[in-house]
Amino acid sequence: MKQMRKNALRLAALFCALFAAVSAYAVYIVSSNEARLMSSTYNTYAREQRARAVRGDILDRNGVVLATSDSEDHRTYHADPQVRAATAHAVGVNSYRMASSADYMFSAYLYGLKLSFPERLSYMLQGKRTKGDNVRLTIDSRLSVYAASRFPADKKGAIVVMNYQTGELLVLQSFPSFDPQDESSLSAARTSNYATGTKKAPGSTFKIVTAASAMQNFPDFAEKTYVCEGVISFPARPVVDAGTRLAEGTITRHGQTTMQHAFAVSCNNTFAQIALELGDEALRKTAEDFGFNDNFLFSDLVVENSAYPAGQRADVDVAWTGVGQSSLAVTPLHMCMIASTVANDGVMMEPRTLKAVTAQSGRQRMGSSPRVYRRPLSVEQAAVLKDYMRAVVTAGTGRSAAIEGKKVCGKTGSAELDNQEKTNAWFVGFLDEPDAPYAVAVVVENAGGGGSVAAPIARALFAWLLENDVNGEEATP
Amino acid sequence: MSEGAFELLALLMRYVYVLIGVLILWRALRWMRRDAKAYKKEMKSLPDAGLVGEMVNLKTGQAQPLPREGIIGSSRACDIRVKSAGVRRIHARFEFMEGKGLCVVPCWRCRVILSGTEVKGRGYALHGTQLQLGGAQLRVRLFAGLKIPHPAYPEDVPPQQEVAVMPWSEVSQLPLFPMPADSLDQDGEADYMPYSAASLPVAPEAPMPYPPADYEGNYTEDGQMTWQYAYSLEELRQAQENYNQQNDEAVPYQSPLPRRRRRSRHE
Amino acid sequence: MSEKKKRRRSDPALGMLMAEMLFFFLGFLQLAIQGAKWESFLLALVVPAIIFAGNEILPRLYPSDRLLLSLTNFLCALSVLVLYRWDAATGLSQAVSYGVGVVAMILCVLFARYIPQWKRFTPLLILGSFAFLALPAFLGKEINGAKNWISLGGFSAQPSEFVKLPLLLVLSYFLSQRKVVWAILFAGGCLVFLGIQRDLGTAIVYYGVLLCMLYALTGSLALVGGLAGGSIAALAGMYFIFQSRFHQLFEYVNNRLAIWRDLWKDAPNQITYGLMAVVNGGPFGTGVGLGNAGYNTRTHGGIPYAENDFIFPTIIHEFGMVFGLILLCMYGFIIVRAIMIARRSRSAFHSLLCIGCAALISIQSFIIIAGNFKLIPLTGVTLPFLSAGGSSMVSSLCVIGFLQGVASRNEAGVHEDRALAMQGGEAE
Repeated sequence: MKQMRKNALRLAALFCALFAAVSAYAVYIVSSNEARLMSSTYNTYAREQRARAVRGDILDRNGVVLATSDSEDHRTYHADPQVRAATAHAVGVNSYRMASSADYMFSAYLYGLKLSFPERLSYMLQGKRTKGDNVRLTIDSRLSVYAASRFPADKKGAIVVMNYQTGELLVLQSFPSFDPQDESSLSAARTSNYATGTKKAPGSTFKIVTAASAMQNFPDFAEKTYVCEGVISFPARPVVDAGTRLAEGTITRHGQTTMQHAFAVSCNNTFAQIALELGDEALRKTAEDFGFNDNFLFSDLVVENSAYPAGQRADVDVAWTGVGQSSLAVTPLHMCMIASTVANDGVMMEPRTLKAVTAQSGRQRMGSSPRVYRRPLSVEQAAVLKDYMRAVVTAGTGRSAAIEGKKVCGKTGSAELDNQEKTNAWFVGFLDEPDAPYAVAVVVENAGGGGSVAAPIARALFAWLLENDVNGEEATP
Repeated sequence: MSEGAFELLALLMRYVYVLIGVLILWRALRWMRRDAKAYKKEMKSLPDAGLVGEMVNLKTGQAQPLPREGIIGSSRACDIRVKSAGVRRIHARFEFMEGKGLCVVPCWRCRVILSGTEVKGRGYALHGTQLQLGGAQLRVRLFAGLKIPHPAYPEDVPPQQEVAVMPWSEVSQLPLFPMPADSLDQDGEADYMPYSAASLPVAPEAPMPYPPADYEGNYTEDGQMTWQYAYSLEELRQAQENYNQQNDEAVPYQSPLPRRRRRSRHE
Repeated sequence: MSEKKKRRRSDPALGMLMAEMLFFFLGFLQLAIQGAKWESFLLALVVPAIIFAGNEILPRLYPSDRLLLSLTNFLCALSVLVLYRWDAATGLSQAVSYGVGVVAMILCVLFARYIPQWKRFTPLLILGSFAFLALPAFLGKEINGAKNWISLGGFSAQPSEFVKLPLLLVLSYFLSQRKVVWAILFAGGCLVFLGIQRDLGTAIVYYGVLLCMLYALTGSLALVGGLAGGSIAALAGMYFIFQSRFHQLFEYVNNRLAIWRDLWKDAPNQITYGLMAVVNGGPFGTGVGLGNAGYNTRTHGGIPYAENDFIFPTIIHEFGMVFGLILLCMYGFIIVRAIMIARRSRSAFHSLLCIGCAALISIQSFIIIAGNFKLIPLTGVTLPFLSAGGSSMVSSLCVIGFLQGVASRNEAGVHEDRALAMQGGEAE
């Protein structure tokens, strides 16, 4: 009997623990899914609440008003059509339910669903419709306009500029863009967010991950040498380098190279050999450390998950994966995050678009702070990769991104796609300057080589960032 | 009431309901604490609450409190712990049943011997019953006032069984004259704990409790009377013969022994 | 100084009673103001009166445990309030079930209190449970994938809810006699019946109760863990062998498992609606009468089965997350009180009965609330006291009846002990 009493007490503790667990989990799951649940189309209650409110303004990081509403909750956007087009995807058009856009993701704040009771009371007593909070984004409208002007017209693609220390996104653009003020320019193709929603093969920019994997698995990677013969023959798809045309007999050879040199000149053969030597498992593990195959649940953005193919794969596929082709699928935003990891001593920050939420009275209701997403690399490994990426810009394929006197690092990529005539031009890189900690990803579809098309765009962006202070006051673009 | 005003009211009432809910929880907590304190106080004043007696281990002399229902065995989880050879972790289950006594149910393949007979199924132990588990001997003591049919009789203990020897130091605590074992009051209930003859010492060398012939009232230093013979055996036999003789002559009785005075403690 | 202390130490029972009466007066008054129906005004007066009767008068009519009754009354009246807000007819039928439940509860109290020996009843209870469980197979109708309802003449009931009671009694009896194997066999038999009816939620609850009672008796995690592991392994084995049959029979289980793994799979599913309702409420709720969550069932914005499976999110929607935590605390108090009663009882049977009741309430509440919040896959058990449904309310009140019966038995035992002790002192 006395044993039964003791056991009964233990059971009571178990039951209390069960209830505590349920409470804790309930709070957790509600708070983590809050944004998505509030914005869901099926949420009738929230829709009714929204119908009774007037949305607050959307501002860029310097206070430029990008979108505002009149008393009937009709949205009007910035006067300048260039600004409108440049920030269209970041701001969004509510009727189109654009994921990753501010008007959709932050609708809870904009519609005043976070208002405190006294504030709501005052609106009710005045008989006016509740006006929601103003949302200040991290986007810089001047840089966005400048970036849009540098992007080749009538090409598809994206530009992402991120502060690699804080994770703030300065530019989140997709091309072709649209004019939120103009209904006729709204179409599914134009409103889709390329930067966060379109996954394509990254091309040679993936060599950052392959090199990281080699660093983690080969202790002697610095001294190892590889011989690039120009072709690794697989019956299905032989591995060749850029510029090689097997039919004509011109083969690009690099001869004996170290990994650093191969990285700088973007030698496919070397990296294919490295990938084969690593094996699919090791390479996949490193990729997953960088966020591949993970379910991105960022609070400010809805990002398509990057895919590293699973299962047993043939050597030819593994080889081409090391080079960045063969069923790899990445969004430009994720590649930007990978580059910023290298820049930020191996720490990958979570991308954010929300800077602050301010009430109509001017009081700041909520700020936002940097969040670490992952730590894929150690500080030493990141430093080595930084050197590699510096070599790309000083002596390799990324020379057109170099700025005299400043440390620019990057990696070019030219991703081949089956149904495209030209390759997708990729460039990911960053400024290794203490007062301009920015990383950039540029993708131009069907445009040619990364070094020739994408790198100059990046150079222009870096130049602008070095000359202008991003945190300027109410600057007119 | 207008919609806006009702909305205002409803929004205000939200906090009221939460407040009342917290109040209810607070009161419930206080109630439970108060109840627990009262119960603890009650239990302190009733040290025997929930117990029906004691189980004495005859070899070690240790007595363990006997709850109404419980288990006997060698494990620490048992209510009555018996650490001895042949006693399993959980050896037997016991339960007090009104009017029947302490029902002992041995566990599967465990031997329990109750007053000499092996228990098959269930056996009922009364006050004074001796249990044997493996190598251990236990005696059941039940509180007065419990409804059991009758206490254990000396006939229950077969003669060949080893009978417990009460330490001599305990004997002096016993009342001078043992009461008869079957004395019950008019309700038919025993209102004291009788001792069976078997539980008293049977020590042949122990001196008979009579004062000696040369008894002058010897006391120890702290006033305790020492038991010594008052008369020798020879004197006693002589007295007995004299009495028998005198009875035959039908003479009024006269004590054959010289008058002695026995000083008592209560002078 | 001590007199001042006595005056300040107010009676918690009175405080609770006042608080509860105030709560329901304000609640129904608010509904009355919103709906402007005279009967709601009437209820605003009647319900607090019923609370008063239930907390003050009723406990004096039978041997009871007032604290338990107070908490239970609050939860039952809350369910009447919320269901009345949803639909007047449902609210009133819930009130009727509450009345029936109170009568059943008193019966159960008397059973637990006055029947000393359950041995004679055990075979009857075993046969009765199996018969009850077999009933839906013949008379039953299938709801939502599980065939465990019967309807007789307009009333529908769930026999598996009622079988809980004989299950507790039989298991307590077997375990108090240390007949562990018999207990497991009986529980296994019930589980087989439930498996045939595909009522998996109740099966899990019964199983959990069995494991808790086994642990209480033996204290050996090895036995309990071994049994749990063994049966899970057996189930998994059966699943892999009869995979196709299982898929056919338990299709809805696969559906629920898929939703559990990824909330946004078939976007507007039950759980997302429930979570949406909770999120819309926020910490303090939307305010009674202002919410919109399940009042148009099976349409957009409505939670399907808001009244029984999803009653908790429905309540939280209007009253708030903080209030939801308060409700969980109340359930916790009931369970703690049940364990206290178990520890004070003097016989193994009654102790195990109380532990079984506590385990039943706690496991059932945990499963449904955790299912609502996606901690575990959703199952079809009801939340005791708060869910709509006559059988659920009545059987939960009967469980409380058992607890009260044992509590009053404990008190009688204390009286006996006191008499016993006094007797020893007064004897000459």
